[in-house]
Formats: sequence, structure tokens, C-alpha cells
Amino acid sequence: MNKKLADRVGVKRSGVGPLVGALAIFSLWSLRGRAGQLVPVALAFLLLVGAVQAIGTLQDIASIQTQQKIAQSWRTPYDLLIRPQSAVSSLERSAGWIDPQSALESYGGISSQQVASIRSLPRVALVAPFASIGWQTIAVRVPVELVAKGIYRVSAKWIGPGTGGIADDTVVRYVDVTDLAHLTTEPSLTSLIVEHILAKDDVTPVVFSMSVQATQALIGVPGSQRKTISQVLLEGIAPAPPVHLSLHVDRLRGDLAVLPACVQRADCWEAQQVRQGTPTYQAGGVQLLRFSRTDYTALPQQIGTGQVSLQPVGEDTQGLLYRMQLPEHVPGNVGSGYSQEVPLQPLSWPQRLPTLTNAVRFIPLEQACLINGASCYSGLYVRLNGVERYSQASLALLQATAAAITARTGLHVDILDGSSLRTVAISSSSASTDPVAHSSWRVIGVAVQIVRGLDALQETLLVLCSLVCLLAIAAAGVLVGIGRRKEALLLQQIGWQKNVLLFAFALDALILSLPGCLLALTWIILATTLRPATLSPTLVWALLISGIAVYCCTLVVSACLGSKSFFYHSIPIFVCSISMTSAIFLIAIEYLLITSFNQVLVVTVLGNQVREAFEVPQLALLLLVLLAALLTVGLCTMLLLRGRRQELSLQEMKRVFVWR
Amino acid sequence: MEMIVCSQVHFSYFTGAGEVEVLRGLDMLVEQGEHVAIVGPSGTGKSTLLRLIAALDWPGSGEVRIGKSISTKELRGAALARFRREQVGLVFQQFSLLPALNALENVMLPLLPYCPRRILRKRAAALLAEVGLAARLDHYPDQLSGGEQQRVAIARALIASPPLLLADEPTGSLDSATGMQVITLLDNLCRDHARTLVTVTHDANIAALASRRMRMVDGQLEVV
Repeated sequence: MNKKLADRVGVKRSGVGPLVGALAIFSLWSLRGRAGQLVPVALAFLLLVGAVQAIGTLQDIASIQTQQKIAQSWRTPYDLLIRPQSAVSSLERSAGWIDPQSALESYGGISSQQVASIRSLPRVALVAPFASIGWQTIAVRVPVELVAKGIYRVSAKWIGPGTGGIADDTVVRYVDVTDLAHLTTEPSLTSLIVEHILAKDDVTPVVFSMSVQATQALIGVPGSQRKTISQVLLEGIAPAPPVHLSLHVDRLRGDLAVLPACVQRADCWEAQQVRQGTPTYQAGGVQLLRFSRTDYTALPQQIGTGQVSLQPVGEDTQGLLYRMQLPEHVPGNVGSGYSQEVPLQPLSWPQRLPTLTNAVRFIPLEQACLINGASCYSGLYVRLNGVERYSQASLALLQATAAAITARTGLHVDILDGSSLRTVAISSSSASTDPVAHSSWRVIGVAVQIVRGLDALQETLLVLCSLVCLLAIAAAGVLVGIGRRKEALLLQQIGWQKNVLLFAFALDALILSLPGCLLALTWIILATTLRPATLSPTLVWALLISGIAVYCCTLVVSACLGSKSFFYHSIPIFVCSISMTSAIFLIAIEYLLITSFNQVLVVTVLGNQVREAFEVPQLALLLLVLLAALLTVGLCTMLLLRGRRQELSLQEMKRVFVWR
Repeated sequence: MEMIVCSQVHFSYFTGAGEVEVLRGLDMLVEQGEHVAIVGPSGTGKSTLLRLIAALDWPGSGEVRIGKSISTKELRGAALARFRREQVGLVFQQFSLLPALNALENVMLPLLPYCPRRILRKRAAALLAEVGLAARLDHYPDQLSGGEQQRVAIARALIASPPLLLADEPTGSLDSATGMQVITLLDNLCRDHARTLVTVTHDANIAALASRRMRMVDGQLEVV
């Protein structure tokens, strides 16, 4: 104020404080007639904060429920499956599936050094190697005293529950106790193999060592899993009494010449009582066995419907599985390589093993590998730390670890975390009795994809909903601002400076938004205290501040714009059109997102397993977004009709007049 | 002493139909303390002239000078606001009172951000008493009659003691008796406070109170 005015009016004002005070007083005076405007503004702020908080909460609920469902269905004890590159079939590579059987069908290929290298990686909690089941042969030797010269038949038979004395199980040896030393060196003249033992005299008994080949289970497993596998394999058998080797000795009534004729005749033989010594066990070679590899093919259409075709390998179908001996452990006369002449041995269940006392035993995997060679591991299961929940972060960690493993070792890594079992129909072209078999294959990364899709969906909705709410606030600001244009014009005409005017209206806007802000703040504090959500409070605060800024700016600009400005007329229309378009777009996109998300991910991949988990939060979300959109549209409609109030009133009057 | 000097003032605006020339080289001189009435039919540019004098608009060409100040054309920003606040008091046909503010607050409004409230309140109350509304300080515009509202507007125009008062159809919304009362009050106040008053009116009786009358014809003023 200049001196002249000061002289006229009396006192000079200086400082920002009194100015702010005066403008605050003006705002409070102005509020008298506009208390009703507090309601839509407060509603708009509450809507903004509430919508964001609600979306955050709903996202949490949906995520938790989804992850629970996912964890129930797909959480595996291990996160990664590592196999040699050669063990991965082309179908697995193309379809992104894992054939659980393929892990059992591969033999070796991973060395101890590679395992150690993987163990040393950060975040690796556990590495569990596995190898093919192997067998160790043992020779059971029972010394038998034969007291006189003659031809003896020594029969060994496994006696125990379930054996029943089957002839096939009886091992027979023919022994000739003789004083003719040359017989021990000459080849046998009979077709039967007779073992000649030289007797010292007629009194001193000779000892024949009866040798019976037996098989001892050799299952290379990590120590932690030994007990479990033992229980599984020996279920119903382990507590049963073990079988015993029973020896029966008969003496031939006659000489070596009648032996061929008497093999099948009981009357030729005379039972003998003999002394048996203590049995001894001698470990034989180790035979590591594996399944023959099956070969699957599938067209892309077949993959989509979960159907694969099996290329028949003899009788090696999904029915009874057979094993084939490894070339290096097959007796030398078989030749090298896999051959159809190699006899296929039926899968030997533990029941078929000679369950001598302590005969069936497990040896550590490391020990098996010492026998078999350095690269004995068929595969590795790896568990990581920090992937307890399915998320993009867990996926990134898994992918990074998988890449590191491949880079270090060259092995193939599949991410099991979040993989789901999917039934695959396997059809065989062979004329077997059951041409179609069903097996469960793992579809990798499904759960992670779902969580990632869910997160992206919620984030998109959050952004869209925030945008619409901000537009609603902008519409409210414009609505209030337009109502005060005349006031702003008058104040300019009576000498208020432009900056003072702007400040006054900004202050006015702040005061108007104060109750809404307080309610919103209470909401934020309560929501944060009662139920800490994954949605960052900073984001909500930032949105609230943005809302205040948007409200103040739109109010001030729409109130103080000069009437000659282009924007004077276009701002309301612009804001309204944007708001209404966004609202309609939001409803449409939300509907599309949710329905397509359900269809693609939930229905197709998951069936109805997690659908229930999605539906309730999604419906609530839809209602919330609908509410926000409707409020925005309502505010915009008010804004658009405001300038046409007189016109409408005139039309109404005309209508009444005509009616009368 | 010259209060208003208008020299060759031209003013026009554009519509969809083309340019409308309102003032065509208008010249005017008003001495300090004079009461000048401008009459003329509607649409001849009377109110436009008043807006130019109040620096609410600017002439296309020519110059409007108030008192010793520089040309209104050169006023911008804070200087313009100060000019409007301190040099000119405006009285409108529609009173232009803020409905949310009572009579006292409406009078205080022009200087509210610029003067201490205590002093301003005292002065506003005195002015309202001067216009005969001492008992209506707390009344809101919708509780006042048209004449009373115009009196509040007059008090508001005088709050900063401007040397020049501009009244645009001050009695246009009032009946003739009330209108006469209001214009008489305005005239008396200006005389008492030695203010210059320029009134735009259609009413010959109102114009008759002025010390000098001018008629707006074809964008120029003629002395009546």
C-alpha cells in the first residue's frame, strides 16, 4: 500500500503472515454459503484413498488366497530340477513341460564337481542328487561236509513266507567226491556240470563250498531320504520273517555214468545228513540299471490338448516297465551297445530279493558313485532360499540361479517352482492292450505366471482407478471454480492483485479439501495400523497429495481464468470428456481384464482351483471401480449442466406453459 | 485539475459477424470534483467507456489518463491492481455483492488483504453508517433490499477513498424513488468527500443531478 492510501485509510500492512490471515478469513467467510461443497470434495478424496487402499487390500487378499491355493497344488519340495542336456527330450523343450519319468530314465551325466559347484551358489539351500537304482550281486557261500566218496546233489532253496519252494528258485550243484585226481583237471564228459573234489582218504570229510548267487539292493540315495525310500520299497515286507537258504544233500545210487538218467528220478537219490558251516557273503559286481528311453512326439495342436504320442520301443510302454543292463556291466559275451538280444529283466521288486538277514541294505549315493564312476548323478533337485512366495521377484531369482547353473556347469535347468501337474494322454501306436495311457507331466512356471498376471492386473487397475479418481477430483475442482468465476472477476475489478487472488483461491481450495484430507488421513492411518498391506503407504500419501494439488490447481485455474481465454470455455468440457471417457474405459477394461484373465489363466490352465480365490475380490473391485466411475460421471454431468441451468429452467417454464 | 483525460480513444471488439467499432476517436475531459453523467441509448459504448476509465479494458488506440497517473495502457500487474484499488471506486448496476459475506464484510473486501482488519472494520462501519445502514452491518445481501444493497456497494466503492467514482447504471435495478435516493446519496457523498463522479445512466432525472451531462452518439461524446 502506498503512502497516499495509507494516509487515507490509516495503517500500513506489511508481511506475509497478516496477508495469509486475511485471506484465510476471506476463505472462511466465503465458506458460509458453500458448506455443501465440502461433501463432494471430501467424498472425492475419500474415494481416492479408499479406492487405492481397497485395491491394495483386495490385491493382498487375492494374492494370499491365490498363493495358498497355488502352494497347495503346486508347491514342490524343490525349486529347480537339473539334468544333463541329453536327458531332456525335444518334446520337453518345445512344450515347456517336464516328464517326471525322464528323470528316472536318464543315467549319470552329472559329476560331483558340478554338484559342488552348484552347492556353492548363493541362495542355494539344498542340493539333492539322485541316481538310478542299482543292484549289487553277492555270492552266498555255505560250506558242506561230504563224508564219503560218491556223486552228491546239493540243492539250495530259499525258504520263507511266500516262497513255497518253487522249483525255479532251487539252485542245484552236482559234486563228485572222488580219489581220481585227473577228473578234477579234465573236462566233464557229461552234459551236466559236475564239480569234482578230490578226497584225501575214506575217513576225512571234504568240504564243498555251496555258492548261491543273490542280489542285494543297492540304492544310492541321499542319507536324508534313505529311511523314506526304505519304507516305500519295503512296505509290507520289512517286518516279515526273512527267507533262509535251505540246503538239501542227496547221494546218487550209482556212478557218474547213471547221473544223466537220474537227474529227474527221485528213486536214484538217497538223502544225506551233512554238516553245514557258517555262510559267508562275498560282494559281486555292481550293476546300475536304467529304464530304456521312451521317445515322445507331439504336434503343437496335440500339446495344446495335452496329448502326446509314444514311439514304441519294443514292449517298453507305459505299462510294466523294464530295465536293461548297462553295456559295461553286461557279461562280455553280449557285446557292446544296446541290443535286442540282451535279455530284458522284469522289474525286480524287493519281494523277489533274497531277504536274508541284513541282506537288503542301502548304501549312500556317494559310495555308489565311487563304484560306478564320477558322473553317476542322473539329476539334482535344488531348493533355494528367498522363493517362499510366488512373485516376480521369486521368478527373477529362480531364473538368475538357473542361468548361473547353466553357465557354470552346462546342465539343463527347469524351474519347478510353481509348476503344475497336468494330465497328459499318451497314445501308443503299438498294438498293446492299452493303447492310451495317462501320465502327469509338469507344466513349469504356471503359478508364477498367474501371480505375475494377477499383479499386473491389479497394478493396471490401481493406475486406472487412481486416474479416474483424480479426474473426479479435478471435475469437483472445476465445478467449484466455475461457480466462483464472477467472484474472482469482481475481486480483480476492485483491485486485488492477481497473485493475491490466486493465493486466496488456493487457500480456499485447501480449506475446502481439509475435511476430506482429514478423513482420508484417518483412513490411511487406520488402514496402515490395522492391516499393514503390501501397498506402500508412500504411494497412498503421494496420491493424496496429488489429489490435493489437482483439486487446488483446477479450482484456481477454472476460477481465475480470464473470460477471453480459450480455456475458459473448454476446460470444463475437456475435463468432463476425459473423465467420462476414462470412467467408461476403466469399466470396460476392467471387465475385459478380469474376464479374459479368468478365462485364459484360471479356466484354461487351472480349472476351478483358484477361481474361487479370485472371484470375491474381483467382484468387490468391480463395484468399487464402478462407484468411482459413477461419481466421476455424476460430477461431470453436474459440471456440464451447470452452465445450462438457465436454459433448462426456461425450457421447463415453457413446458409447463404449453401443458397448461 | 484534470481527473480524466481521454484522447482519441478507439475501441472495438470482434464477433462472429465481424468487427464492431464501439468508440471512434472519443475525447473527454473531466475535472476533479465534477459529477458527470453520460447518457445515451443502449449499445452506444457508455459502459465500455467506463471500463476503459477503470482500466478493466484497454483502448485499441488513443489514451486514457486518470489524474496524475500514467496512461492506463501502461498499467500492468501490481500497478494495475493498485490503480483499480486506490484510484477508482466502482458501482455496478447489479450491485455485485458477495452473497456469502455480510454488509460489513462486503465493504471491507477491497482492502481486506491490504489493511489490518480492525482498522478496516471501523472504517467500513463508519461508511455504512454514512449511507444509512448502521443497523444492517451483519445483514447478508439476500436480507437487504435493492436500494440497501446498492448503498453497501457505494460504501464498498468508497472504502479506499478513491478520488474517482464510476457508477454504471447505479439505479438500473431499482425503482425510480429508490434510484433517486441512491443517486442523491452518491452525489452527496462525492461532494462531501470531494470525489469525482462519472455516472452512466438512461434516466434523465438521474442525469439531471450531474454538474455536466454528455451524450454518447456514434462512439463519441457530445455535450448536452
